[in-house]
Amino acid sequence: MAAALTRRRFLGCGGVLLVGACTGGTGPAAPTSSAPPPPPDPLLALLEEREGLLAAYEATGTAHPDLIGRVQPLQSQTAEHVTALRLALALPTATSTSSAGSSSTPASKGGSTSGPAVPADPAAALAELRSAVQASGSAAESVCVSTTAERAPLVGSLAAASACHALMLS
Amino acid sequence: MDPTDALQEALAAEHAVIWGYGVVGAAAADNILDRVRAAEQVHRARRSDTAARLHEAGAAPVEPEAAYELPFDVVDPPTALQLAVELESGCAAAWRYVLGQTDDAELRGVALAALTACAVQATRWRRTAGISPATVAFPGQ
Repeated sequence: MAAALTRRRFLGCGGVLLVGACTGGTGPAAPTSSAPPPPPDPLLALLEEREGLLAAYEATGTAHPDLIGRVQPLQSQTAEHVTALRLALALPTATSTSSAGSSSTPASKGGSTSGPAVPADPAAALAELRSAVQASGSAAESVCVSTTAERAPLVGSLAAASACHALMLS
Repeated sequence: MDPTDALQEALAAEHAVIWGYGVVGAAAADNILDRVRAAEQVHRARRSDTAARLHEAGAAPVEPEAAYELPFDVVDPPTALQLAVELESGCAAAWRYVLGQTDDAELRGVALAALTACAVQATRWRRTAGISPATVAFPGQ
């Protein structure tokens, strides 16, 4: 934890130095970029949510092998969403599902997703997946309405897919 | 950014779907006819709204074709369901296209609702037809 924070701060400093170097000043690359950092890309939140969903699908399949047939198609389509979002964000697309936790550390602080716990009752497990899918669909709807025209079709497809996935989980 | 052309395409898609559901209804199993009619009604309502929207924007809404070419022969309940899936998928694509042709939040919301409704209805038809998986990763793409 402390190590990660240290590294992040270090990377942050590197970024500032780099900006200073690029803007070409020969003097000390000091406070040229003291402006507040831009707000996080809203697609990042969508990505983190769908990575969380992937983990939930996987945990549900492990806890309830009888549900795998029902859950697996939704899980692999959600994996396609993750890939598409990473492409749109210009992030590397080769992710292992087990690394989802580390990449979403900032968002899950204090959250309830400490390694998805799966209800013992299969119906309850499906209901939990369904509400998570619906939440990620609502988030995509909001982003779709406000994002750039270039991104709106992709995000709209994600929202529509969530509605379809929720139907298949009910 | 002018979404008129995209809206005209969406309206043309709605015309085609309504025509197509007539073909679906003629070949579908009796026990799904109520659902076919209900699905068609959704598109009739959206067609009216879309035409009205174009009218308000000063454009002449496109008229339906007299007939449309079917992608395959529709001769029995399975092919009827298959056509229903095609109709909803095509309409989803038209509304997805609208999303990328406007910055207007209200129109985005309208197009997204239409895309989602088409995608969900396509999923329902696939499920009825026993097609697996019943969902696609990127509806409208």
